[in-house]
Order: sequence, then structure tokens, then C-alpha cells
Amino acid sequence: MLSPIMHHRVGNRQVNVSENNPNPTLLSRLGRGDADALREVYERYADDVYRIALRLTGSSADAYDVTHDVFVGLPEAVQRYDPDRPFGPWLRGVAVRTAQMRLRSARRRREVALPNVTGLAVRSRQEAVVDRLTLEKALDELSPDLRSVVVLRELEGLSYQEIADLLGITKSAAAVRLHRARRRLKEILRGNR
Amino acid sequence: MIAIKRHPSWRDLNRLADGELDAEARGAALEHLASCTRCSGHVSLLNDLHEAGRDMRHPSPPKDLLDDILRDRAQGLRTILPAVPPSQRPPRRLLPAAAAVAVMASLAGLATLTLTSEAGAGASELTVDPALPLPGQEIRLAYRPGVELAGEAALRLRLRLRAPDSEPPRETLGAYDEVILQPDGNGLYVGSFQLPADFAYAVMAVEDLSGAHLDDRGGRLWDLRAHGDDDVPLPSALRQEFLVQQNRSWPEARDVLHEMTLLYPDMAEGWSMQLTYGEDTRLPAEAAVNLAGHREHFRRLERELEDAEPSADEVAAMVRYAAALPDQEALDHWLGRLESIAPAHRVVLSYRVAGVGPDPNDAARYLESLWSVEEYHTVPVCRAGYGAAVATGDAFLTREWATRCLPLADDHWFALDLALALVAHDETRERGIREIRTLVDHVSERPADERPLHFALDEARWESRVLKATLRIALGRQLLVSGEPVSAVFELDAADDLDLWLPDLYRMRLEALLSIGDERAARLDFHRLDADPVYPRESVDSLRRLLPSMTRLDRAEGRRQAESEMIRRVFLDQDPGRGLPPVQLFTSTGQSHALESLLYGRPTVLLIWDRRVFGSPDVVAEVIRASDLLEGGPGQVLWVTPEPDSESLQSFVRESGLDLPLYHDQGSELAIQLGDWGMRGYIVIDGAGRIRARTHSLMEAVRHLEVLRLGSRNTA
Repeated sequence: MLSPIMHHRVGNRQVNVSENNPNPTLLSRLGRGDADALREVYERYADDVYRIALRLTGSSADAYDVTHDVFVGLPEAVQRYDPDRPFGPWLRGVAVRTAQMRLRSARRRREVALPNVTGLAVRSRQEAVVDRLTLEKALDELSPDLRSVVVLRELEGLSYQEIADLLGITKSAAAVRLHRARRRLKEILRGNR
Repeated sequence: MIAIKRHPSWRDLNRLADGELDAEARGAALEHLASCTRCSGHVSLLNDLHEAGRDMRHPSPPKDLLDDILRDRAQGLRTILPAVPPSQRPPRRLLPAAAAVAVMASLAGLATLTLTSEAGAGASELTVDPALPLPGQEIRLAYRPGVELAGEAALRLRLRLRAPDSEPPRETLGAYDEVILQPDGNGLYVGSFQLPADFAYAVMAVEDLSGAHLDDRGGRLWDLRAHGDDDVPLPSALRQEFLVQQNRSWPEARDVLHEMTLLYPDMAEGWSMQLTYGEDTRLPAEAAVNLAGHREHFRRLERELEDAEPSADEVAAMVRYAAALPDQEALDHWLGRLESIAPAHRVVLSYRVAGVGPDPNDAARYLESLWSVEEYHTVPVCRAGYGAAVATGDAFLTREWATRCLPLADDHWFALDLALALVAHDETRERGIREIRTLVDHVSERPADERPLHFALDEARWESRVLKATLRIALGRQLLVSGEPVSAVFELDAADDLDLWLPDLYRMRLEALLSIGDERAARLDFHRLDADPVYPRESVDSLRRLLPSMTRLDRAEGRRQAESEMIRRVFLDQDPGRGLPPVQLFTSTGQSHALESLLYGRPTVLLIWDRRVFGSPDVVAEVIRASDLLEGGPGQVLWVTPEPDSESLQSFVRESGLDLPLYHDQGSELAIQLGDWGMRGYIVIDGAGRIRARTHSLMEAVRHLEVLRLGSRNTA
């Protein structure tokens, strides 16, 4: 028998939960601590988690630790997951909050130079005021709260509502934080030029 | 009218870059961008941010990470991950609108912090030839500079010319003239200019060509009156001088009125203003003694004018005189007569709005009828009409007058009032917001030659920043009470970018942020209020309860950072101060003391205060609060007054409960030396006897003193 198709609204998009979520059996095995299930979930979602962690923390070492912590704790955490919600955004939310916690508690600067960390390609658009390297450096100047919204909006392409859902704040608060983050970036980038 | 040139707000530029502007607003913004490099630069930056974000590759985790995870779990390692909270709904508003209004009300007194250049008076001298000029005559000037302006290649004399019918001066957009003074080789700077045919009175100041150094005669300014062929000052000259001086120096203004009654005993104007001013300046005893004489004068003038054809201004003076006596029957008679010959006269308007009776609708109807005649589309009619509309409580009528008057508004504060009235309602909000942003743009681009005479360029820039912040805060407050907290935060953020220390802004923004559920962001503003030495502790305590997730450690750390920010912001652009002038002050028993000897090395707020002019209970309460705040600490408040000792003064001190050291400043010598002549001013002096700040807000002075203390403690 086919499992019923569950729909969930994320921001303004309607998400077909059954198409995007891991099947319930896999999550059930994961919840029991099954290593193969953890491997399967890791292979599907690790890129997302690592990318967000790297962009939020700006440090490959921190991103490694965040991703490590998320997946080590996932079998226990998944027991709090609401299967009516899409799994991917939920897991990204966990990653965002884990990275924020790390940033706040450690308050440390990145340990490795940025180009080596991200392996970013050199931009061809020479006339641009901001290239990605400059952006990375500027992001590093932001507080964790402001950095998170910029990463989620500009790098992850999320809507205000999705950012709000991930960070556990209201849509209005997400809009205010993004507005502030961009102002701050503008100041930083002006200072760099 | 204020010229309109508006840039889209930062928020709108963001919405444009995000594709969230509606078609109409987008079209307008794009049209603006085509001709504005500043705004197009902002949008390019935002687009670049998007592009840079898209350009980033998607890195993958290191290959050994999964093995590490599986091995660690196999060895029993577990981590506790943070929960993802459910989406939040905006909580209810925390404060009623009235509370926010009260917060804003305190901003009305937001003081301009001014910086001193030099005392200015003394060595310099300005000679005007002829000394008793007629309107239309050519004037030759010879200026001998003091130390500060000596040796300049040329100097600029700035002057404000007033005509017989000029309105009372306000902090308005200035219309100043200037004369370049050239050195004559004998230590003088000379120049000339032609007085206009309708000249009545002028005030003047001299500065270097860069506007950096100013000689405003210790705040008094130089002045020039129009005279008649008989070498007697014209009545219009005295009237205009009084209008200027009444806001600057109480004794000087009284002297002008006295001169007017001596020179023109048959004019009601001098007598009426003298009586009114005597009451206003808290000398009822003196007024009572003279009341019988005034009644006699009034009757005599009535007899003389009854069958004559007096001018509107003469009749207006009789209205004022009748009101001051007071004589209601005579007031009605002369007001009716004035109304018949000049229905839109300023005096008619003021009595129509304020004195017409308990029903403000009468005044509103009268002003509505005036407005139907195009000839009366004037600023005084606008002010009266808008005031009457507000008094009726009729929102539609208020918006109607605000819309009518905005194109005529002749100063920032009136324009701000009108625009806020539009912001208060959904259907006119966008227009009101646009108008306020236009004002902010105007302040930003205000040319240097519009500044008041007694402001050097740096002071004018500072004043501009304060004014911009005040306008934005006012808009933020109105948006907040209109239920638009996100927009309010944007405006308040823009005001905060001006790098001033503004506790009322922090209070308002804290409320806005809490109302959209962002407690973490609200904490920053709480820390600022917590660090502020003047902000009421009970308010801080009650705000603390609205931030339940903040720990003691968070609070201590946040407060420490906020203190550093406060020290930087409060003393931004401040120089290390200058020494005290060598002035003698006197006790009530006549003993003289050098100012320096009264400080005993303590940080001090010098309160230069004439209670006869500024003796309202509010001011007294503020003085008492300032003393209380400093009690027990190293700081002190000294009261310096130009008023001689008297039973009246002593009884005022007793009855008001003031407990301050009081000294008399004979001839206002100290105030003149400090450039605060004629004003209520607060001077902040550090423990080394250096003047560190000058402000017109007592609480701000106390804050400065406390910040000085914090700064020295941190340095130590």
C-alpha cells in the first residue's frame, strides 16, 4: 500500500513531504542507533549540513566539528523530529543552531585562511564591488545572529519565512536582522575599499 | 517651502534588490537610480552580495568525517543537539501607545551639544558707520579681530536682516547675508554693504572663510537698528530687536521694551509687551505695582484710537494690552475691530485658536472660512488651522490641514508635525513617511550658509546630526504606535547610525524588537539603557523582566560593552577641553570667589540658570533630580544666576526645596565668557578644572559627568 502523501507549507512553498523525506523506516532505524541508517542519512544530508556549518562559522575545523556533533547526536535528536514536517529543513535548522551555539560559546576567530577553507573559484566579474572572498571576510565581522541570516538568505537562498522557521524567530525579526546585517556589511565593505 | 529631493530609503533599496517592491514604487526607484550615483551604488552593492553568494561553490565534508562519526558513536559518544523551536508568532505589543508617546515627549528636549571655539568677546571690536543708519543707507564696517581670527587673509561677516514685518525668529531655514571683510593693513578688516529699503534690525557675527572659527561676541552677537531722520530708532527696529532678544536674554529684552515706551509713549505696543512680559518673567509684584498705571495708559490710548484709523499692528497691540490687563470687554472690542480690518492677522489667529472659548470647533470653522480665500493661504493661517484641527480631535480635519500646509511649512519642526499627522493614518502613511525622509535629506544637504549665526561649521554639523536623529526617531515612534514595529526598527537603526548616544531611541527600539519577538536583538538596547547613568533604574528593572532568557553573565558582559560604546559616543568629536575663564562669582552676602576656587577639584556641572525666565516646576524638578543623581559621588552641581540676591529669590529657593550652592554672576560675566549669554546652559567641568562639554539639557550634562568618571576609571 502506498503511503499517504503529506503536504507541508514552508514559507510560501508547499512541500511534498513524502517525496523529500527519508522513509519512516529509515528514520525509525536511525532513532534506534542503527549505524547503516546513520550512514545513509549522512550520505544524503552531510553536504548540506557541512556547507551551512562552514558558512556560518567560517572555519573548516568548526564546520567539521559541527557536522560531527550533528550526526553523532542525530539518532537521539531524531526522536524529537515531527514527521509531519520536512526532514531536510529540520536538519538544517539543527545544524544552524549547533553552529550558532559553537560561535557564541567559543567566540573564536577562524583558524585557517579563507581561500583554503572554502576552495572558492576566482570570480570573473572584475568590476564587481564585492567578490565572494571579500564577502567571506566581511561575513566574518558580523555577529553570529546577523551572519546566520545573511548566510541563509544570500547563500542558501531561503525566504524570510524559511529563515524565521530555521532560527526560531518571527518573520519580522528575520527581516530586521537581514536589514541590519546588510547595513553592517555595507559599512564593512566601505571600510575595506 | 522646503525643496524636495528624496532618496529611496535603505529599506526600499533592499526591497528593490530582493524584487519585493510593487510596480509603481519600483518604477519610481529605478527612475531615481538612473540619476543618483549614491543610490545606484547601494543597489549595486546589494546585487553584488547576491552574486557573490551565488558564486560560492558547495564544499563537501572531508572524506574521513563519516568514519569518525561512526567510530565515536560505536565508542559510546553522544551529543545533545539544540532543539529547533516551532515558528514564532509576534507577541502582543508590550506598551500602550501612550507610553511610547511619553518616551517621545522627552525627546522634545533632546539637546544640541555644542562645542566651544573661543570666548570671542573682549579683544575683538566691530565698528559700524554710520552708527545710526537709515534704511537703504550704505554701511561701512571695520572689524578688529581677537586672537583667534587675527592673521586671516580675509574674514566673513554673516548677518541676518529683519524687516518690520518679519516673523519671530525660529530655528528655521536661514536666509543669511554675508560681507567679505578685507585687511586694511592697519590690523582692521573692512567691508561695506547696502541696507535694504525695508530694513529694521540686524544681528551679525564674524568668522574665518572656512567657517571653522567664529566670533559671535560671546554669544551676544553684534546688532544694528534702523533709525529715522531724527536719529531715533524706528519702532519697527525696536519691535524686531525685542523679538530676537526675548529668546536670548530676559534683561536685554526688557530694556528694549523700556526704551520703546520712553521713545514712543503713545504706542500701545511697548506698554502691552512690557506688561505681558513682566507677567511672563515672573515678576508679578512689579507688574501689580504698575497695573494701575497701565490701566490709565490703556484708557488714554483707547480714547486716542477710538475715532482714528489705527493700523492693524496698532489695533493688535491694543488686543494684547487688553488681554494682559486683563479686560475682557476691551479685549472683545479690539479683537472684533482687528478681525474686521485684518482677519488673518497673527494676533487674531492666536486668539481664535487659544482664546475663543471652550469649543475648538468654533476656531476650526473660522479658520476653514479663512482658508477658502486664497489670499490667506499663509504660514500663520496654516499654523492656526492645523492647531485648531488637532484641538478638535477630528482626524480627517487634521490630515486635511496637514496636507494643505506641508507645501508651505517653513521650518523643520512644523513640517515634522504635519508629516507625523499623515503617518498616523494608514491611507496617508506613505506620504507622511516620504515627507519626513525629504526633511532628513534636506538636513543632510543643508548648505553651510543656512546655519545660525552663532554656530561654527563643526557645531552646525553636530546640530545637523542631532536634527536628523530626532526626525528619524520621531518617525520611528509614530510607526511604532501605528503598529509597524519592523518599519520602526529600520528608522531607529538609521538614527542610531549617526553615532549619538540616544537612550530614548534604545527604549523605543527595545519595545519594537520585543514586539516582533526578537529578544536577543532587544538585549543590546537593554544593555545600553542599563549602562546609562541617567536612565531611571526602575525602568531598567522593569525592562529586565521582559528578557527572561538573559543570564547575569550576559547582562554584565553586555553592560560592559555598552559602557565602552557610551563613552565613545558621548565624547565623540570632543576636544580635551579648555580652561575656566577668570571670573569672580558672588555669594548672597557679597563675598567674591574665583570660579576655580569653588570647584575643589570635583567634577562639576555648572548650572547657568535664571529662574525668573526658566523657573517652571519641571525645570526645578529636573535640577533636584540631577543633584540626587550626583549625591554621594564625586560630582557636584553649582548654580550660577545673573539674578541679584533678593527676598524673592530666597523664598523661591526655600519653597522649591533646592539645596544647591548658589552664586551670583554679576553682569552675566561668566555666561558671556562661556558664550552662553542669555541662555540656560549647563557646563561640564572635569576634576582638572577643564570645560569638557556644554549642553542645554541638564540630564545630558549629568550623563557627561558620569561618563567622564567612567572613562577615567576605565583608563586607570
